[in-house]
This record gives sequence, C-alpha cells and structure tokens, in this order.
Amino acid sequence: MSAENFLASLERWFQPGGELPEVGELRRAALERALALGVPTTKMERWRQSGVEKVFEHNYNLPKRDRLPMTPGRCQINGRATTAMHFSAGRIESAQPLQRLQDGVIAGSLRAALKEEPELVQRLLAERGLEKMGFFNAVNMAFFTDGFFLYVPKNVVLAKPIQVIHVLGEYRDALENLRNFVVLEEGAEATLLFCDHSSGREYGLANSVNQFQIGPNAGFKLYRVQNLSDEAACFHQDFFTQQENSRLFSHTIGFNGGLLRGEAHVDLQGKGADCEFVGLSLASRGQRMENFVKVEHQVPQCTSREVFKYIVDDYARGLFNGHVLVHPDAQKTEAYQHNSNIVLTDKAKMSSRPFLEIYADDVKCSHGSSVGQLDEEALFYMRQRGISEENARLLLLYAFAADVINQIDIEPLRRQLDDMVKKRLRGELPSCEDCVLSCSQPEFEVL
Amino acid sequence: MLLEIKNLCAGINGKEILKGVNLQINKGEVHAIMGPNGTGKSTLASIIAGRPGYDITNGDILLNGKSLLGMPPEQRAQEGIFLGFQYPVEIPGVSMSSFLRAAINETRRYRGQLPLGAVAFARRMKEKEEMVEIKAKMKNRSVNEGFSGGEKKKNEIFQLAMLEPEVAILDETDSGLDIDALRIVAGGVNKCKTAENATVVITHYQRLLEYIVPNYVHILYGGRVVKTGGRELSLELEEKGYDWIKAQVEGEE
Repeated sequence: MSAENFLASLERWFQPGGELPEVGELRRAALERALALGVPTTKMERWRQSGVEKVFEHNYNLPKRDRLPMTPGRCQINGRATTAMHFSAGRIESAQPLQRLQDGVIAGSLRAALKEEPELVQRLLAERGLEKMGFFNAVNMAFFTDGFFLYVPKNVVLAKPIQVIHVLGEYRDALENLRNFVVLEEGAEATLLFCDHSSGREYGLANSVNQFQIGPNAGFKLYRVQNLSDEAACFHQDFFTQQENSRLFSHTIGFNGGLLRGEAHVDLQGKGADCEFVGLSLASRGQRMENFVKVEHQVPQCTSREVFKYIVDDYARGLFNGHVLVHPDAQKTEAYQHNSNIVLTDKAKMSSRPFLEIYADDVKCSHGSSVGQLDEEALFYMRQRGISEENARLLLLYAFAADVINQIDIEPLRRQLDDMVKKRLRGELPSCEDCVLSCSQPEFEVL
Repeated sequence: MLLEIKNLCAGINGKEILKGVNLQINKGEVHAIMGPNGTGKSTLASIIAGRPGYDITNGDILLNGKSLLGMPPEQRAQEGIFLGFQYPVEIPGVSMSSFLRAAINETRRYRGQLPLGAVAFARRMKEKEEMVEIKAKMKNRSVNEGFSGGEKKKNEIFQLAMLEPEVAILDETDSGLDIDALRIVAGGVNKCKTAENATVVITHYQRLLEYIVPNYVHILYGGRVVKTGGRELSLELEEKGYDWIKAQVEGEE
C-alpha cells in the first residue's frame, strides 16, 4: 500500500447516496478536498516525526454492518459514575441509539440524530466549512459511519458524566471514522469521558473528529483515556469553539497504543473564555505518542493553560507540539504552556516544541519544557532507606504522574486511573489483550 | 563485633581517597569521626552505605560478620545500615508516609516479617514522634520538599527512629543547625540509642559531641585513621585545631 493506493481506495469506497445520504453533498465535497490535499507527509511541519507514513502502508477495510457487535466489557467506572455508550465497528451498540435525557438533553448516536433532528445536525455538520479542513478530517467527513452526539440546552447541567467507549474493531486493517458532536448552549454544563480501546491484536486506525461548541458561560470537561494495542493507531482531532466566559477542561491519559496522535484546536471567540489542557503520556516499547495543541486567542481577556507530561521508555517516542497564537485584538491574554518529560533509556526519544506567537502587546504568556532522567540522588536516598531500586524508580515515576491524576474530579475515575497508572508503570497493564475495560481491579497500595 | 572496617582503600575516578581505614564498632557504642575538610569522612560514610560510583580497591566492610561490599544500597539498609545525609534530598510528589511505609515494609519483607498495616504504621509514627520529640508534620507533604535546613535534619532523625537500624551513620548532621535545633536533633539521636545498636557521628566540630557523647573519637586524615582516643581527644582538637595532627602525621612520614 502506498499514498497513491490510499487515495485510490478513497475513490473506490465512495458511494454517493450510500451511508447517510442526508449529508451526501457534504461528503462528496469532503472527498474532493481530501483528494486535492493529498496525504500528509513528514516533510510537512505539522507532521514532522509523526510516523504518519506508516499509516499508509495498509490496505484498509471500512467497517461493515454485518460484523458482530463487540460485547461491551465490564468497566469499573460505568454504571456507578457515568452513563455509558458503546461504539464498535464504527457504530453505536445500543437498543436505543438516541436518548432524551433530563431537561431536553439529547445524547447518543449521531446517525440517529441525523434522522431525528435533521435540521440541527446538518447545520452543525456544515458549520465549519471545508476550506480549512485537513486531510484526515476530510476523510472522516467523507466516510464517517456514526459518532456520539450530545446537545445540552441553555442553563441545563448534565446530571451524570457520559462515558463514550470506542472499541476499534477486531478485523484486520480496520479504518473507523467516528464524528462526535457536542453542543453546550449558554450556561450549560457537561462532563464527558472518552475511552479509546482496541479489541484485538490486528492493526487498525481509529480516525475520530470531534467538534465541541461551548456557549457563553458554559462549562465543559472532557476526560480521555486511551488504551489500545501496540498494533493500533488512533488519531483524534478536537475542535473547540468557546464563547464569552466559557470554561473548558481537557484531560488526557495515553496508556498504550502503537501510534496515538491527538490534535486539539481551540478557538477562543468570546471574551473571558478559559481553557486548560492536562495530559499524561506513558509510552514504551515501539509506541509513539503525540499531542498537538493549538490555542487561538481571538479576543481580549482569555486564559489558556497547558501542562503535558511524558514518560518515554524503551525505544518509544513522545512528541509535544504546543502553539499559542495571540491575535492583535487579544489584549490581556494569559497563556501558559508547559511540557515536562522523563526519558528512561538511550533509545527513547522525546521532541518538545512549545511555541508562542504573539501579536498583541499587553499579554502575559510563558512557556517551558524540560527533558530529563530520574534524579540519581533521589534514587540513592530512597535505596539507602531500604527501598529497592525498582520500587524507588516506580515511586519517582508515579510522583511525576500523580499531579496529572489528581486533577481528575470524578472520584471513581480518579481511583481507577490512579490504579491503572501504577500498573502501567510496573509493566502490568496489558494493552488490550482482552478488553482492558475489565482487566483492572482497583487496589490501593503503591507497592 | 557489629561493624568492622578492615584496611579499606577506595577512590573515585582513579583518585585514591581512603588509604587503609580500620575501624571496629561494637554494640552500644558511639563513635565520632572527626577531621579536617577533604580527608574522606563523607566518602567513608557513602561507601559504607553503598553509594554508586566509588571503586573499592582493597579491604572489606563487615556488618555482623557479613561483607557489605557486594550488596546494593537497599540491601545494606535492610541489613541495618542507616545514613543520615549531609544534604537530605527533596523528592517532590512522594509523600513522607508512602516513602517510609515502602522503606519499612521492604525491610520487613527482607527479614521475613509481615508488612506493617496502615494502622500499625500510623501508631508507629505517633510513638516515634513522641519519642524523638520531632513532629512529622510533614506526613502528608512530599519528602523534604520545601523544608528548611533544620527541618531536613530533624526529618533524618525521625526516619532514623522509624527505621531502627543497627548502625546509624550521621554525616555532618550538625551542619547548618542553630543551637536549639542542634539540641533537638542530638536529643533524638540519644533516644534512639540502645544496647543493641551503634551510632557513628561524623563532624567537624566538637559542639555536637557535648550532646551526643562518644565512647571513641577517631581522627581521619589523609585517608587513614591517624589517631583514636576517648572523649578528651575532641576537646584537645577544639583547643589546638587540626594543625598539630597534620604536623604529627607529616612528621611520621
């Protein structure tokens, strides 16, 4: 397979009036956009060192309707703390694909929403325009099969977090495109938990695009947990638009995955909007994990903070790209970017590129980055007290990760992820040999 | 004999620092090691504790007749060696209690004992706080993080009380302490003394020895123990300084 073959399959797969004819026109335009752009290469600044070339080595299969749905794994979190929705083989697995929750909240399958709320959803889909769409976004638009849809009306606070579980299919060379939409009207509040998993040891690519519209005074929290096999690739692109005085908190932990690439694009469009990004990536073996965050301060008095941490072991690679763009009108901007990393071996690699681009003159912006090994003096101190070298390393690594974990404000989720991080650091967290959703029993001791 | 150092020769990066150190320490004893700067006092402490990076070229260190030289630092600690650091290390994010619990329970496992549960551990913390009169107010804080110099040294003594080693080596524990802190630290060390353990105090000044009274005073100079005496030797040093020792040693050579 090659880039040309990939483009040829896009054309071959495309069926006008096939999946979701309601958006047929949009899909055709997106396909043309993708073909015109061509596949991204590592020569492009944004894709440098990304490993994207590997993605085009495969002969992909789109999910078919007749595939058996995955049996959802038992999850420690769902049921207790969240309302769970499962997606596998590119579709929601639910008898009731679109649910009407409290106070006019609509949540569930985008596919079902397109049928039941065609005007609203079609308007949202068309809103972002094609002219800025990147390649994988256009591919997603042309071929998405389903996605998660959430609409929270004005001043409604979603009672329980919703957990959206996506399990990449068990068939070879799967290409699954999910498109997720979240709309929070003025004063609305919601918390989502996105879990990305894979079910087998086959290669596959999950290519998700997520649009989040956060209205004035609205508050949105997005947690993301990624635990896929070393064979799997997972790209997600988040597009946030934020209106006046809205708040966004995005929290991501990458546990496992062959190629994890997260992009976040934030448009701060309303005065006083605030966003915060927190991330932890735990990469080992040949895994590659990348976070790309672009925050655009369009208007005055907005604030943004980014803290990303990586632990890179074996011959894995970590990449951080942070770009804060402060437009000329965006006076009184406060922006903070930080990336700190522990690289455990000579063969592991970390690339860190924090970047500020500022066109306003009355702003407070800072950025920083550090790459280091474990503190040898601290290791000796701990060992001198009788703690084995292995456990001393674990304690130090856990300490490095802990402040990310401690920012989770859903207690059962915090406990669960805390436990998973400890297991991951000990090398005990399997990368989805079975469904990882059920493999982790909480325990409370560090050692 | 509890700890025996036999003809220990060691160096770092090809530079010889210890040139045949001999020491014999019995249970129930307090030994002071004194000497001018750069004579190998801290090197000796580091080598006993197993700090990586030193080359041992000759000799041996025996604890209860067992050689420590082949053991990693954690095993030496589990066998009963405690080093009070001259510069205790800050470990952000690791809480005092998880640190000490890991230390105690790994040592217990090494000795074939059951781990200490959370309740027993809390009780022990409380007991030891009372015993050494050092409050581990840092219980939920990270190890040494943001502590003043005095707090760090007090924390070393609290750890000493919690871990109950057979041999406590205190490396310049008095440096940077004001007189009140010195009294508290020395009081803590004295309370940890039993007939079954031993204390080795490394210091420049005899001031600390007014509070922790040694049975033996050794003077380390040029990588060797050049003089051993009783308590009075430290007083003599206080009076005359180190020059007479230097002159004496150089005269012999």
